[in-house]
Amino acid sequence: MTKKLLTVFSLFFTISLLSAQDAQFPDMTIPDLDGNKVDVKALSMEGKPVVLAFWATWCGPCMLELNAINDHIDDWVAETGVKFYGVSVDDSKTVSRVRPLVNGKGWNFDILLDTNNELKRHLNFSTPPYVVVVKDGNVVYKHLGYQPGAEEELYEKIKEYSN
Amino acid sequence: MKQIYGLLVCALAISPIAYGQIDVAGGTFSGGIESTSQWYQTDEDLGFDQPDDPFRSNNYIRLDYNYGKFSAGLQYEAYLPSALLGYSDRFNDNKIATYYVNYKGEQLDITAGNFYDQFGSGMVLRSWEDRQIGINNSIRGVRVAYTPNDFTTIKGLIGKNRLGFETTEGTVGGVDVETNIVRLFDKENYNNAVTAGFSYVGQHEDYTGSVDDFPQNVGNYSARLGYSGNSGIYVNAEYVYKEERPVYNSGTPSDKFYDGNGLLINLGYSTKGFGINTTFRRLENMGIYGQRDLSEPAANLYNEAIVNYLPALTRQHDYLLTNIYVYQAQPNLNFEKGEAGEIGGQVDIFYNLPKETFLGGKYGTKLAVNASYWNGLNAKFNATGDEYETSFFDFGKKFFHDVNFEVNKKWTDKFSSIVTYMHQYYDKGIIEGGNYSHIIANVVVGDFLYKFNTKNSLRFELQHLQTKRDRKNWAAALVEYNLNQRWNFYVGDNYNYGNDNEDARFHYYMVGGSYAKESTRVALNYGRQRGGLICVGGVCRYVPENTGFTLSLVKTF
Repeated sequence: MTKKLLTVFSLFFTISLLSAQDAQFPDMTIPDLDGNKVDVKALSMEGKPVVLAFWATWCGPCMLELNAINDHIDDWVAETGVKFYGVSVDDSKTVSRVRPLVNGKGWNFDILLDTNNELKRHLNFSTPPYVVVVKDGNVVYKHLGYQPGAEEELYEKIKEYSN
Repeated sequence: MKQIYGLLVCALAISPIAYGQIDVAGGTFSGGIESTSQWYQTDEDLGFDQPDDPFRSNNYIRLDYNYGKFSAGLQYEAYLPSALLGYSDRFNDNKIATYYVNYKGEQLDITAGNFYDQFGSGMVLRSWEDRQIGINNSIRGVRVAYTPNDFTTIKGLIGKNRLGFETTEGTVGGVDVETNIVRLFDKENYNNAVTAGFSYVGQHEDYTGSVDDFPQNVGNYSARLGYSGNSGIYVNAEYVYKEERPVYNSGTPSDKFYDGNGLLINLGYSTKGFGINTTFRRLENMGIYGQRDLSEPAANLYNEAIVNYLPALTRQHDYLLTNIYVYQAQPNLNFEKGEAGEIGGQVDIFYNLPKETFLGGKYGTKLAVNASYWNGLNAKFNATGDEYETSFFDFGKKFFHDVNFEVNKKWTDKFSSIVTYMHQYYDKGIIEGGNYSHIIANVVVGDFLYKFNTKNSLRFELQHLQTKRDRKNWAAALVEYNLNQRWNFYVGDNYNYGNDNEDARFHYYMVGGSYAKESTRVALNYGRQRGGLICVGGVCRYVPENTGFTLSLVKTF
């Protein structure tokens, strides 16, 4: 049993050394609040980065993050031309709260719905907050979790990939 | 073991290439790992004895390979030496748990192997994964989706739900069609959307027993309609009918058969700065399972082999003391308690008090109100207790209510606060089983954040729960320090100070830290876990009280 454990952990260690860059963004469209399907990969080919910030109505750190980003989003868009989406991973328990919450909080960015978490599984993360920057069809930056102030680091990345 | 070595070789083979780009034979690799290990310690105060395997570990590795329109992947899971407490024994193994190959063209999407899908709101079919609560009911079989245009999807699937590392006895097959009627007639009309959908889910499971006319094939149907438009008003409704089938009691099927149904209606309005959503739902004998003998709640403690998704429609709270009394949907026939389902609803209101107003202050103030109310169906059972009647809008015994208010205010550039008040009614006997009277609880939470600069911040929570029943009053506090955008340290305590039994006034303390950089996160915690329901997305699993160390590692690549 100890041998098995060691094997599994060494497998983990090996994999954690993988520092893959630029994984392709999956070929899939994601619906917005009106059911229109958005092709993120195609949008990222237009010269400007696309940022997807994954969140859920029940996720406290996500609220902190998106409220903080909302304070800056108009400037970010004006200065870099970034396309920013908040992607809700709320499932059918809470997805009906998404639209009123977004409006009630006065967020100035578009929302996509990943209700059965298909995109979340493709990107292999298990809980939000999770942010990815997509450029030219590739995931060029990703960040797991949120600590107050992380939006500054994200903006540095957005600027880096806007040129 | 061979599988582990195979994976290890794979990982080693791709790792040197990985430093540039994971390009193998023209395709790309991606994946993720997640590991949670616990080392349980005997805790004499709590009466918690170290289990036989004091060290337990849940590990998941997912690998996907993509080459143009083709992709393939697998998920290897290792629960070594056995799964964490509160997970099904069926997981005590290490194997490749799911695998698939997929072709995705312009209009056609074909998968063979394990897949996930959802029809409508999931009330008739949903397969998904949630590692925190040990749910993976992915279907192993074939799925075809056809998208003739960007507003229509037609799906067909057949297979068996995952059950531990195996699959269920029963087979499930389904067809789902969804389209936007407005665009069907006017392709360029993006102003209003009227979506309509229909699903059929058929199930087959062999039966060799002696009950006459036993249904080996049963069907479930869903019809739905939705509207949203520029006016800000939206509404959607779904009705599901479940065909007759037996109910299991102590492992024995009934010789009478019972059908079920569910109705869900959502109505909302929102505009910049304001949003309201109301939900009504009625469920009668609505649980659907991929294996008949798991349809009995007492035989299925870990929500295994579920075909459909029936979450509790209540607010999902995220603080320690707001999660002591958590509602779970009561969709099933329960002859013992004389219940046949649930009926109720919830309302959510969000409002943003604008900046530079008297109440809004310099930065604006965000308000949220939520109220939910759930009852039984007031079913009248006959003398032998094997038949019942209900009328559609008849509210029976009250199971639960929750009224909560949240005020989220940014005071200065550095300081913000979230204050929450919650009033709850919780019928413990119905929700957790056993004989208890109902509980009324009041909870107050203050959550304060102070940012020293863009890289360092302090978060502080104070909480109190008041109730005259059950374990009575609780107080809790938590302090968290975020250092340099990478490190996080916290210390917290839930204290059951109001317990009548002075020896049971436990402190559930915890201390821990984590390091996160880009897509890697490592966390270590030590402390006492308060026993009870851990709920994610409305599905709950019961976790026994325990004490010990937890180490977790997450990485995506």
